[in-house]
Amino acid sequence: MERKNCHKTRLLGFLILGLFLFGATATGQEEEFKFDVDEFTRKAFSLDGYMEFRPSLSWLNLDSSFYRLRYYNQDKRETRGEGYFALLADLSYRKGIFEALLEPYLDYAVSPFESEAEASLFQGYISLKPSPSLTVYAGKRTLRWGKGYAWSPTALVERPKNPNEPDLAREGYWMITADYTKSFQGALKTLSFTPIIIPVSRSVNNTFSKKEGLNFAGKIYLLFLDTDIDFVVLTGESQPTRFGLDFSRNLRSNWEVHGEIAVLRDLERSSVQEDGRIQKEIFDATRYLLGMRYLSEAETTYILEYYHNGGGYGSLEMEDFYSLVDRSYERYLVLGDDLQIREAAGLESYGGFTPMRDYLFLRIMQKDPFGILYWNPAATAIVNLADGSASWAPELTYKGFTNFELRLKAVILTGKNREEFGEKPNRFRLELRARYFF
Amino acid sequence: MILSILLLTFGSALILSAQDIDGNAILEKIDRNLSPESFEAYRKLINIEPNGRTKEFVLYTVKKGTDKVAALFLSPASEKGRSTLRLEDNMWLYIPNLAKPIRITNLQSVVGGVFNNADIMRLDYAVEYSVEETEDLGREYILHCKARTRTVSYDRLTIRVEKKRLLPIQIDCMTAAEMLIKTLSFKEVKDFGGGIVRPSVIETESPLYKGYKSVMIFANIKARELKDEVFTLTFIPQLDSLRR
Repeated sequence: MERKNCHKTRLLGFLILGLFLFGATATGQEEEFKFDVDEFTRKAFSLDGYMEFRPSLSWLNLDSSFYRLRYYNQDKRETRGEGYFALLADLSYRKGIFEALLEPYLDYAVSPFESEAEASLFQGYISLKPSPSLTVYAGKRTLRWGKGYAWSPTALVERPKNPNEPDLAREGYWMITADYTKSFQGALKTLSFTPIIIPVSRSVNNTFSKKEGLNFAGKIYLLFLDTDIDFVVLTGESQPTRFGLDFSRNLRSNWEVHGEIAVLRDLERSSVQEDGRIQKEIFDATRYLLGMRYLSEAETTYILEYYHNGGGYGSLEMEDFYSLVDRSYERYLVLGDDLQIREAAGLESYGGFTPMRDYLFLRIMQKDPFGILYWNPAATAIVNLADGSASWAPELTYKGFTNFELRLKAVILTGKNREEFGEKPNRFRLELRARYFF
Repeated sequence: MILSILLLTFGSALILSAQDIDGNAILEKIDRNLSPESFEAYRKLINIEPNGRTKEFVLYTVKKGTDKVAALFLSPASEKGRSTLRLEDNMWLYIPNLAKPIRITNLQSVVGGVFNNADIMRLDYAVEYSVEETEDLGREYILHCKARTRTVSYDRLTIRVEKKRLLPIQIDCMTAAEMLIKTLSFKEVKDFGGGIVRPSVIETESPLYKGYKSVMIFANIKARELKDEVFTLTFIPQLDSLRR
């Protein structure tokens, strides 16, 4: 009898436990699969963006030309630590066909020797969208033209892209622009036209050109025979005429090819002569890029690009520049006169991202290695084909925490003296980037 | 002997009834039962890790006809504004920071996890697959489907269909060599209004991601007429303007 009661009690216990567990599981599932769509109704005002903290440590190349140009008047140090704080916010208002957007960017850089804060407006415009076919914009906008990942020769109305960080947000230009689109059936599926007016004055778009005046640009986009094709042009009072075209097409579903070509009439640049004089040169140049993006069965993405910069310097021209830096630095050490070295540092075209003529870019990204989600290793190489010097950048990104992104990146520069990457101020750089999105 | 006769008769009846069934017509009907030809919808994607940790994404989706789909990420903040566009076999991804669309493939996953772009940007099954063989199991059909082109993510599908409502119960996605890539389970049939009665939850598991699970929940599926120009590269950055 007692045994029977004991069984009953156990059974009751199991039932209660079972019901509790079932209830807990059911509740858990309900919570797991809950989707309150009302939370996502469109609001008139919205605020999005990210905050970023980016500490880095660089191992410096004390004998390099660009170390001398940058730190000639500072104590020599083998390493340099820096920290960056950045905030990018998108504040928008939408009502009917009207939209207004403000995108301020705040940046604070700090190192043991100096700190610098900068605030800029990356974008700020109003737009009217009377139909999906037509949108008109007025204000400051960032346009991204071209199909290249690391470089975009056809990006005629943009600030230069950093091939080491091509995905970074960039500041736009003030303009009036519109997008008109028409869809069709047949070989030509889409036709879009984007006309642009860009004014340049002392206070507006003064980094676009030093010459004041009104400029006109335009882009015609076609989706023709499953190929994206853009024709672009820029002409006006501030810039000589430039025009080009780009394309992108899937050869197979996992294999995309793209290319760009741009012709720049009367390109102006500073050039150091053999005797150290600095001269302005004006010539026509062609820039082009050929690239591909391939996804393997193991979900490894390969991006390969070849870039020819017709406006870039040859090896001998770079040699003349490095010699000028050497002489200027010697002059500063002996006489304390830094006029010449400051002049050399002001030759921005030599210190740009890829100042020479022929480059190869390779980026390899692995999604979810070993079936583990959110860890994405990648490696990027930029090789100067003229001298063989290169930048190698392995990185690891983690996106497992909602709205957080962590990235650890190393940049190793290889090259001898008088070779592009051998003359950069760093030999090795380690950087952690933590981003919080809101 | 009697058993053999019974089996023969029953087997013949099965084959005969299967031969009478137009599998492709069933597939087309399934497509229409899952959504109108042109519609808008909200979806939540949940990636569930083996340790139970979850990551959620919310998308707004529009589709027109048999070859046009676009989706916009609304959440989380790190993905907000990302948009994808599919026009036949062409597929692009727009990332707000990058501010230009790049071509992507079916096989990639813009969110990570078991769902890939083909699942998120799916066209009608009948557009991408043809039914090679149909089995009639009484309350269910089994449709054995083959991809119409090589650009489709999964070469073969085996679809278990609820006969009464012609709604999918389970889909096994396989390679040409019949290796299982993933299994989609359709659950919780719900009336969305406007005559749309369909499963509101799709659970996905894959032997390639052992222990991981992804869940897709549908909400506010509504028929909507959209202009062709919505499904263009120029309009991708403005998808949010379609939301009411």
